[in-house]
Amino acid sequence: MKGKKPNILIIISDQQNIDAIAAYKSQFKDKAYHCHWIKTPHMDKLVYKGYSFMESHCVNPVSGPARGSLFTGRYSVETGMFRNNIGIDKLLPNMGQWFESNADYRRLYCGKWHAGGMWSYPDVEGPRKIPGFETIPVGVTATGDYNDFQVAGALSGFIRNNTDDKPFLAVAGLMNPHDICYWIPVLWGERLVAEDDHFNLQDKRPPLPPNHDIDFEEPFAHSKVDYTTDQWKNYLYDYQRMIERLDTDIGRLVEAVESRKDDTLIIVTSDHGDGAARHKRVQKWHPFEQAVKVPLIFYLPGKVKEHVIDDTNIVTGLDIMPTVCDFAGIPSPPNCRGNSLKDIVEGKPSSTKHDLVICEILNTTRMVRHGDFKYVKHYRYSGDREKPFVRKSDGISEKFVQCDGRERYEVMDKSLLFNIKEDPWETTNLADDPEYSAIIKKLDEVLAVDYEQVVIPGTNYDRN
Amino acid sequence: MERKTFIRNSILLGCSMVVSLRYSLASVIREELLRLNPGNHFELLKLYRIFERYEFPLTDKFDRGSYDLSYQAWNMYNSGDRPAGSLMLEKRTNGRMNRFSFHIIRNADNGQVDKSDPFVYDVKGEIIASLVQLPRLISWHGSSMIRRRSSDVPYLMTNRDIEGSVNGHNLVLTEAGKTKTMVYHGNYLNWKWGIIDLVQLMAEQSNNSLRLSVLDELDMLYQDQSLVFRNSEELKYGESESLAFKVYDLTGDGVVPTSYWVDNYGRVAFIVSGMEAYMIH
Repeated sequence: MKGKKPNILIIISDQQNIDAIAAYKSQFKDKAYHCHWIKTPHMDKLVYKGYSFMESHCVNPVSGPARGSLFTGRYSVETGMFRNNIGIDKLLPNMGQWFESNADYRRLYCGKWHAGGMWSYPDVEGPRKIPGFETIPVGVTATGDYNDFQVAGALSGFIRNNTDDKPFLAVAGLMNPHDICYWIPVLWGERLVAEDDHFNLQDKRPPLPPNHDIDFEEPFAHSKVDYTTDQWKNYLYDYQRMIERLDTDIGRLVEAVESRKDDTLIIVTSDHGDGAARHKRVQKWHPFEQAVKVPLIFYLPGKVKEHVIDDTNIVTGLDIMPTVCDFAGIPSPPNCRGNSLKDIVEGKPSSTKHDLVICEILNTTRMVRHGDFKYVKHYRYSGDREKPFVRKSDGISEKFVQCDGRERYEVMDKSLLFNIKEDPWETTNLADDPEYSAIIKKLDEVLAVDYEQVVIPGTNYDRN
Repeated sequence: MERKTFIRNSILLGCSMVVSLRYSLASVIREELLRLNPGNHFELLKLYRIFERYEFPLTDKFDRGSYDLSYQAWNMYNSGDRPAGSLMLEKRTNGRMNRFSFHIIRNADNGQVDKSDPFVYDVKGEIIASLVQLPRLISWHGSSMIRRRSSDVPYLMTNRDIEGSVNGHNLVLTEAGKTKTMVYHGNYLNWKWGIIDLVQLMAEQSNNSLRLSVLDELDMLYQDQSLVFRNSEELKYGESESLAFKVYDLTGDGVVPTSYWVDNYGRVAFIVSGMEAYMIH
């Protein structure tokens, strides 16, 4: 419809690897990648008729911090969400609040939020309602096999039935394939993956990745699991079936959008990836490609270029906030760290360069991806506080104690450097090779100039 | 002892025996299923945690051709707290046609705050299937919505109404005035909750395997799934009682491997998959 700004539907999966879309077989040729073992007809359609970024990164490879950054356009140290279960600094507007103040859009949220306190799914009222959004409630079991078809079903009902002249901004927080987290005995106690080929799947189970046994001496190695080969294969097989379930629920939402006569921009992304047996990892919380790379697809027939697989621009979840603002015709919030991708996805010359991303992992690791290289620095916390946060007496949220000079972070000598273009499986650490010392020096400067000197640490982290 | 007192005490004793039989049966089920499969408690662990709050419903008989089945849906994320929902399935046979009515209720409230009128996700509908060798989908209609428990009004326009029919290998679906066609590739099509009836039939006929396409939640299609008989389990309790189960596994496109446990009455008693379990109730 002429003159009306496009509706915007953001679909966020949880823990989806970038190669977990079947249409990407040509980009991920090794048969160990997920794309060779799954059927994802609905996401494939978005890839063939939309714009995909292959160098797309999350801001922080863990759920809450990634979502806090995605919905504000700010780094984790600025939102205050450097780990789960804290909440966004109330001085920073989330996407719903920013649209509420600056755009005439109806704003709805359905599904997993997890950017506020210790809870994942919002209420329709009360302290667990997301500021700036109406909520379509779907329960709290926090598993994809229970929640996702409710999210897809309920939100697709709204999308089909809504005839308001006002455009909508809707977010679908789908849980899959995060359910795979509950397959892990080390982290979740008694919940176990089958110890043998319990369902006689044989060669339907995928192979282990070529970097499965590659390990690096890391000071804060998270999410390593000592499975047998059978357990790893069962893990990967089940993860891939969850991706197929996710695809079906994405399909429900896309079909609802296509039933409308007006324009709806669809953005599909994820908060972070999954270990997927690479470097013997599960889950996230680490700086390797499997955790930090996520899908990012834009789809708006007639406006967004079709069938573009962009492996040049290096982009991040920080770019989503300015991009949706750009499509809505409103300015970005102040100090937004990302850049709009609207010109790029529409095939126009872009005034901003996209050759650099910085990721934060907890409060102890920083990652820079610049050109072909990825650089990871670890910091040791040596302050005289026992820990940099305290728990409130109600047990629901935590408050970050403001820095007062007693916190100290010292660089550790366990850096990582990979040439991602030549070594996509991250098998060889170049950090100790003198041939690359100039590159490391340059990336240290990038980190100092483009991150440490830019970020404004948040001051008030006790908001849901 | 007076007659009235004797009768009252006898009734109380009889009731307590029934209660204790059911309680002890649940304990026996738990222990025995773990004993039968000590090396693979992945699947049984889900049942184990739920059995502490569960009573297995005994029955005199079960008519596979016409029945009412009721299930509690449990989600492992909060097992031991309360069921996450319920599934009611009713089958009536009329000559060569089967009519399945289903009603699924899922808790849609946050659960963290005591609410007097919480939200639910409500899905209900009807499936018509013919019976040749296996039940074959002919048509269906269904609706879904988020609503308050006390209300029939959809919350925030979340309602959907879907009608569909099968013509050869084509499924034609209509929703909100729009039509879409899906084509299934294999030889046999069933629907998500129709697999309960299918497994009961396979158990009765000792049919060991079947490949199928599956209509998912009334509106989507999975092309290539397999139902395979895995093994039989026998559970003894009391002096001479026993429960026998036949276990069928569903694998393939879009399904985290799912097991259907058919009891010796011929009913699907448990459905166990991923983070969910359905327990006959």
